[in-house]
Amino acid sequence: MIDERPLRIWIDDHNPIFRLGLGACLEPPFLLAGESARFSPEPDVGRTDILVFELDHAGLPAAMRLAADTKLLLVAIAASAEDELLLEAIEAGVTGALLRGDANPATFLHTLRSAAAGNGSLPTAVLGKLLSRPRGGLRGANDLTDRELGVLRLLSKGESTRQIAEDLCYSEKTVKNIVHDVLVRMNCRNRAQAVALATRRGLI
Amino acid sequence: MQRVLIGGFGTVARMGLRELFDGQGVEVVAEAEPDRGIVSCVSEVRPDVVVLDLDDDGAVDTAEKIASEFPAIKVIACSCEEPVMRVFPPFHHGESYASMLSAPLLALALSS
Repeated sequence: MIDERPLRIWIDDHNPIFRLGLGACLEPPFLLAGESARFSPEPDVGRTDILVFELDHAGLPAAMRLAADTKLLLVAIAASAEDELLLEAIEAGVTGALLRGDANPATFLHTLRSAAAGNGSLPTAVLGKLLSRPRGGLRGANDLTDRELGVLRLLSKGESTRQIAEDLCYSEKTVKNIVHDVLVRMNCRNRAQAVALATRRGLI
Repeated sequence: MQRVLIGGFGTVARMGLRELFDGQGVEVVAEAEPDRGIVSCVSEVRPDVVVLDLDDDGAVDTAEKIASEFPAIKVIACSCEEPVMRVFPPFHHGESYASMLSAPLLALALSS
């Protein structure tokens, strides 16, 4: 059950027609708290419950910075389902997303209602893309972090957990956790298989 | 009161345009889909201004056609992706100028 108290929406989009249109879609309990273009003026987080922002390389970090240490919910407007930033945004904690070309009052309000109810909401096309990705989470099996690659390289030299921990100044528990993450991401049963696979794929 | 025809645009953008036109002394007399023939709708309705979706393929061709067939009609093609618009003033034989797109600038382009 959604709390029917007013929910204040801030809309950030650099196109005034689209921004005005999204504002015109709002109906109770959603109220327009304010609007901005490329975060100018800066959204008033103290008067906003949900920030709707344009997903791009500047928008995502700006929105994350504003939402840090607040209860602000984030809804991203993506250019298309193919937008790689969508995956980053989801991992970063965005509550919902909307595709620019598919936006209409119904989809926009549905996304806001889902966010307000604490449920994520993604367009079907984005869900399909997420579900069709390789096993191992939102990142692909080859998308290992520098830390994971560093551990894999030392594993390939035959180093033990303790030696890797000493080399990289990690605790043994941290190394074990990283190895576990690598195995899950690469869908491997053991370290040897992960090293062999990473070598074959040219990751290390 | 200016009579405006909106050609193209998604639902949200049309709502944005209507929001913008409210209080500007502008009456939206028709909305036309690109594939249903904006030019024939212009012929039927004879608006003062046609506002086109600059992101539609062929929007500039449509604007030039309207300027050619109906020289007294002003055409404003607005993008919904980038904040830009292209204005085809009446009696300028399809010549146009590009401008930044903002609510005040669009209102100015409509009224001037």
